[in-house]
Amino acid sequence: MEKKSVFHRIFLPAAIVILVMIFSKIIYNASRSIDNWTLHQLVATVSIVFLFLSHWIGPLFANTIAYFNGASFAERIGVCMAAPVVKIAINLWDFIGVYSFGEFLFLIFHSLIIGPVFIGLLCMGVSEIGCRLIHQRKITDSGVRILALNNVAVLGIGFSMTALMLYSGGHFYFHNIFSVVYTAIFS
Amino acid sequence: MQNTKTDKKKNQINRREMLKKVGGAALAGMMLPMMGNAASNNPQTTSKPNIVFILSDDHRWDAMSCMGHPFIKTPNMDRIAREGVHFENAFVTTSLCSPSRASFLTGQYANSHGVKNNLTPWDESSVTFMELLKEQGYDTAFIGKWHMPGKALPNLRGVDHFVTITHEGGQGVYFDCPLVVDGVKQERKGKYITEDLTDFALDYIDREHDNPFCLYLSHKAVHFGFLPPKELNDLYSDVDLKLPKEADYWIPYTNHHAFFGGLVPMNISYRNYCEAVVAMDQQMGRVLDKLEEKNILDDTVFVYISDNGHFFGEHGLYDKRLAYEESIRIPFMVRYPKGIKNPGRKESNMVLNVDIAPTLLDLAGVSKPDYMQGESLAPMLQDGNTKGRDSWLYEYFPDYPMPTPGIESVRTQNYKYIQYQKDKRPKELFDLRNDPREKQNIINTEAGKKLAAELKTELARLKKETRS
Repeated sequence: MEKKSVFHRIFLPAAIVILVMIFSKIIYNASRSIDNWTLHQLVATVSIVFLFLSHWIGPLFANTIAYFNGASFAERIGVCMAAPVVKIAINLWDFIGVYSFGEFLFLIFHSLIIGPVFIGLLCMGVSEIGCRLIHQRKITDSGVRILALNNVAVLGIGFSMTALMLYSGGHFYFHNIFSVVYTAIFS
Repeated sequence: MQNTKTDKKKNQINRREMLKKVGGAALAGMMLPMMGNAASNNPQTTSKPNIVFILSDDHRWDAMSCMGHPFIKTPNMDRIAREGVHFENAFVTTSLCSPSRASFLTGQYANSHGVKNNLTPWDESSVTFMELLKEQGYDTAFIGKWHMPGKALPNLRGVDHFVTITHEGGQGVYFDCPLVVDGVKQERKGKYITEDLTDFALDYIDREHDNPFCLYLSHKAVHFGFLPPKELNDLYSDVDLKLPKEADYWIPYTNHHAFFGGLVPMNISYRNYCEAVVAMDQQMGRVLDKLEEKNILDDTVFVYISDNGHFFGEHGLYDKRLAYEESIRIPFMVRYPKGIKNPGRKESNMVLNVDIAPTLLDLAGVSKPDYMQGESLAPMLQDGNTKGRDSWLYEYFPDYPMPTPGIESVRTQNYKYIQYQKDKRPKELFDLRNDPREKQNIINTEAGKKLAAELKTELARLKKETRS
């Protein structure tokens, strides 16, 4: 498969997801100033759909684009993690100064902070299988393995951690563990 | 300032001296029926009334029909307001479950009782008004949500009967919520929590009491996870919710709101909330019916109040914590014919959650301990012309891992000044007379700058006063 430029392999797929995320968030927040209730709800709903797609399954699209632009596996991991990292940075921004530095660092274990990373890995793992199937069948490259160690590991980590975060009430259950550990360390 | 056991000893010494005063109060209590209310058939209560204190969770001040809500019908809350005093300007000093609950029990600000957020533990040496009532001969029961950090179950001195929730970190769930009944865990399959807790309350009222009793009924409702009982599931399915203009259905998912939980579209959660309020009102009606059936309703101080309010889209917000009215303002009403002049009155003075403990003690003829920072509202119940406080302090302490910064605010009848930890948000000043929804921050106007300086001074004074 042709290996395209760095722009096409890395920057473009990552930027598409990040820009969709940022613009949909701006439009969503701006929708509050629309006086017409129906139009307000319409704009808010459409923007929230794009916001959610970019937040949670953005890596599914980003990885697919990067894969067929010839990005290496390591590059694809970087592409898939770009949007979650931006989301984490945006999330953490408002916490600066509210808590101690140690507490701030511990936030990384909160499901809503670290969650996008694992869901991103899950999406990447799913995308990898799809891309490899297409690669193998349509490009007839017999050297492609559908289930290799690297993509199975990404899928496995993403799936198991997402399942753990969603287990038994999802956020709330995971949050209880988080709170117990936090209390043990910081109280 | 914490009301430790040592402080309590001092108060006990004082209390001896106060016994004479208590005797006087008892005499006054005996004279209260002369204010024109029905005499009781219950011989135990000539001097000390029974107390039924019902505390809800997240019930905002305007979600009742007696506050003109567009569709919620709360006939029993309306009845308490009609037959008692409805405090329309009631507030919490910290809009968060655990600190507010500790304030109700101790009569202290969060900074004094120490439960500053949902993770700082309840101090076992803290003295509750129930403990003080017990010392004065009351039978006592705490039924429902405790939800304060610390040990799963506190050593709640002065409480004879303790039914509570440890499930889901003490938050409980609306259906099938296990309870801990006097230390023994019970599964409660098929039960709706508001009705289940009310059943325990009715059972307690039904018991033979040689003494006056104090029942503290603390509901899980209407905290998020909002769910009505099945029979009310479709009550408001077809109504226009009349959400505020700036609201949309997706607020709980956006702008950090997911940290607060409740990941349900706003229209669904608000509908469920309103239906859960109706369920709570119905259960309150059962308590009233039981007291009437026992012919002790008029001998009972009946209080309904909530631990904080809740945003449903106002300011583009969900949850509580912030110092805006939807968050800090609570429903509060008292029915007690023997201690209320001109029932059906709406009281506009600003009253606080820290006033509850001193008020209940006062109505029971017990003097307020020095460490309690609230004021008794008994004079306000008896006289509609009593002057209240001019200003009060609102504080919010960061509640890990929530993104809301610390908040300090001072509210007067007409203005509210708000400042945030490390200026994480701009300072705010609202003219509540002309802008009750707090939409226009006037802090940068000429008049606003002058007023903000005055209110900042008042804030410093109140902080000093509540920490002294």
